[in-house]
Amino acid sequence: MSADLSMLFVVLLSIALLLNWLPLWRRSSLWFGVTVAPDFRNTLDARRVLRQYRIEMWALSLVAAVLLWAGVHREVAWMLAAGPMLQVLGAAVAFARGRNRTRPFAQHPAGARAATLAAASEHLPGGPVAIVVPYAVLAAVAVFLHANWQRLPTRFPIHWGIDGTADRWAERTWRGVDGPLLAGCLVIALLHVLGYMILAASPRGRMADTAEWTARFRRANLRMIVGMGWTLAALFGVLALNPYLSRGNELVVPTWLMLAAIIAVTAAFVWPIVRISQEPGSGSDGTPDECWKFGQIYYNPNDPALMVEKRFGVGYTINFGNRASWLLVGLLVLIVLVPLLL
Amino acid sequence: VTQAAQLRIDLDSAAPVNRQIVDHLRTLLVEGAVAPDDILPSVRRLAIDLGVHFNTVADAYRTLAEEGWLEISHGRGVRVRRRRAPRADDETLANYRRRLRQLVAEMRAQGLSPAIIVRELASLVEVLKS
Repeated sequence: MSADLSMLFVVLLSIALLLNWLPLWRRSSLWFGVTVAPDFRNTLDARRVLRQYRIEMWALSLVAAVLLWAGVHREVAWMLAAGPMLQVLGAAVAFARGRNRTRPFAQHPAGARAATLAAASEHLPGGPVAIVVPYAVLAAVAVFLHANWQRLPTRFPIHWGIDGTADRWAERTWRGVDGPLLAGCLVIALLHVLGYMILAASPRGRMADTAEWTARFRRANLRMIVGMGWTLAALFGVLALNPYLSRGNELVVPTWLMLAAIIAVTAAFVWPIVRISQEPGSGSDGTPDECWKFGQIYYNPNDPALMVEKRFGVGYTINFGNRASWLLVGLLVLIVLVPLLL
Repeated sequence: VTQAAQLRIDLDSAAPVNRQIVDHLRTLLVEGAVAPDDILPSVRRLAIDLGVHFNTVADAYRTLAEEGWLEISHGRGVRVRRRRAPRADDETLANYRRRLRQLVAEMRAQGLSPAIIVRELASLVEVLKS
């Protein structure tokens, strides 16, 4: 087995392991996106639902691995894309099936709501400095590259195949040199916009007696957003510097190292969220079960919140019942399209 | 406002949500949990936190502003005012006496014993005295 295929299998296995535990990282009164009794997760019925989900998810992951293997050996591009897609979409379907199996044990969510009357404004962790640093890093790289313009090769690789060989090149133009930095800025800006959306438009603790838990959960998520901004700045900075450092076709920092760094940083920030999610007494999230389509898509025009906690996955999701959500989706599409148009 | 000061409502209750917000917030104001010059969450913030429509919270704030408890100004949020209690006349007293009797009757009809009701009223008296 080639080293590239091994790396792909490691990624696939990592995703499968993540999906294996993902349904457990929820509030204590939620099971597969359904509001249940707080101790339901310890019952035999709950374990049966979880076991069934895991069997389906692992079976699909195995099929995804076969597709990946066939894709690499027969050099069929669609198989390479279909493998991971099948794994993730399959897990979503398995989760929706788990939700259907949990529904008979659903409890009517308590109507009691509580909100703090403290009007203190919240900020992203680290304050303005933590927000500015990633952009400053990318700007510093841009200044450095322009100061050393003549030392850059006239043609350099900007894309590499899974075997590490360069397959796309750029000329020494502002688009070619600054492109990765602009793309990095856009992705980081999107992260920050999401962070501010969480601060401004997600509940600070809707259910009685869970405000403290929610505050810590929000904080851990916001820390992850700020931390990922720094990580992405480093990643895009290294990619932009590659033509200067490498002078050849190879990547100075190998793909596996970049991937490992991203996984390590993500894990470091996700771990506190997982720990908080495991605590008992976190109750429910105060969103009606019937507004969750397939347990994952929140659509509630009666809820003024634009962002709500995910019921499957880490972090927050959009309330598609809120008109402003389409603005956010438009911004996302724009951020994907702008680098392509450049 | 301290972090401990929480506004509580019950969506399953027969009472309209804006009425519940007015009643509970007024209780907190009278008991001093929310003091004059405190800044309350904006309409938008409170609506998101409670999961109710913006207009519901805006209605409640407006009612309390009309009673003289709150000052609502665009851009500066909602501030608690120093409110001078109006002088109550005999008719007002009679009105509240009737409502208290109705409330006590309702409590007894719900199965609460006179001893429990007396204890609850006594605790209210303690709060008033303090």
